[in-house]
Amino acid sequence: MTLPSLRATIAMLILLALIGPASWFIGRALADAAADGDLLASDRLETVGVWSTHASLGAAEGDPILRAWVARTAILPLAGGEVAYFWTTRTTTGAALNPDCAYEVTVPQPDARWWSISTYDDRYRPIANAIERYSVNSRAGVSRFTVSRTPPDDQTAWLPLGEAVSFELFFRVYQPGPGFDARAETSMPAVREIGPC
Amino acid sequence: MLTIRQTVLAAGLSVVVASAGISAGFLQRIHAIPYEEMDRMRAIMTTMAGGANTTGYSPDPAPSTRVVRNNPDTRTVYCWADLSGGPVRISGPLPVDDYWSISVYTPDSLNPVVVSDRELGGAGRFDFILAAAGEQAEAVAAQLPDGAQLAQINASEAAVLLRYFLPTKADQPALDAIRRAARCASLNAR
Repeated sequence: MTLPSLRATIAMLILLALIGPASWFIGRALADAAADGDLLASDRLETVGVWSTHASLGAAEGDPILRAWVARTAILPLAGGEVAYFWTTRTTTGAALNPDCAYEVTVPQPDARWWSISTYDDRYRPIANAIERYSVNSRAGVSRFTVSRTPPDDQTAWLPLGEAVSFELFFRVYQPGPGFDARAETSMPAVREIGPC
Repeated sequence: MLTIRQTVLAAGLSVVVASAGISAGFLQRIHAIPYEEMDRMRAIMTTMAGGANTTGYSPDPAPSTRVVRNNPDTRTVYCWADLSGGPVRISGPLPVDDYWSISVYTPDSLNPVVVSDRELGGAGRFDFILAAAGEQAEAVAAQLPDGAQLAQINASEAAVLLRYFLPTKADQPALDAIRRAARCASLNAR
């Protein structure tokens, strides 16, 4: 075999010395993107209709990508069957949620100790609004309510969207009983567009 | 000038180095992220509570929260438990009707311990002693106070979260009275 010239060998070593650290930084950037949910993490989730979920967000020992994503986007979740978490950015028919539209959400009363639906903005924070209401829960006495910027006639059944530029609905079911089927679409809240955008 | 064979070899070597670099960077970072986020929680909890092994009470939910997807229905009591100086005791009264739980999160962000009011069987109070698994937990188990439960973890520190649920804003004064009676302190504190 012919040996490469000294010049070619030095050039090759320099190239490898550049490729090594550069690819290491690329790997780190990919990990951050995975943790932010921009790639890979969503593949690890299950879906129930338009709702995403995972059986045990607090116990993702064997899946470092899922664990990083949980730490970044839903820190300190409860493990095991203590709580079922579901979230969506779509209506039941699959249309993307738009904060300029009005939606009716109907919750099919889960068999559970407590349920709630919250809205979060694109940074996973509650959405600022004048009446400081960030969720509707099982003790509110309503199973159907409006999600919109402007108040509906019945403001007791309203989850305001404030000035959000995008939002998600987050459904929590604490200590679900045997009557709650976490894999059935009929267990999920129905989200229906009711107002013009 | 490189021969074709040398060029192919150089290209192959570059691909191997790049793949190894990407994999190493990815794995190092993906494993570090949960610890980073828990470091952030430690900073938040110890700053707001005034130190480790000190009881903290979450403010009302607000868009300015530093906790992602914070549940607006809960009013939490929290504590960063530092077990390096001994076990930590967390105790207080239980709310009457609604769901309540104590959960422990280790620095890798996992949740090895969660106990709800239902498992406490209407005791009216909770009394937990958190200890590092091994000699520390064994010493606690040998002298466990009446009515107390031992929770042990494979870590020397942890975030402890007590979740109280607020049905309506009208219930807030009563709920605050209950949760402000919760205490988190070193078991050896006098």
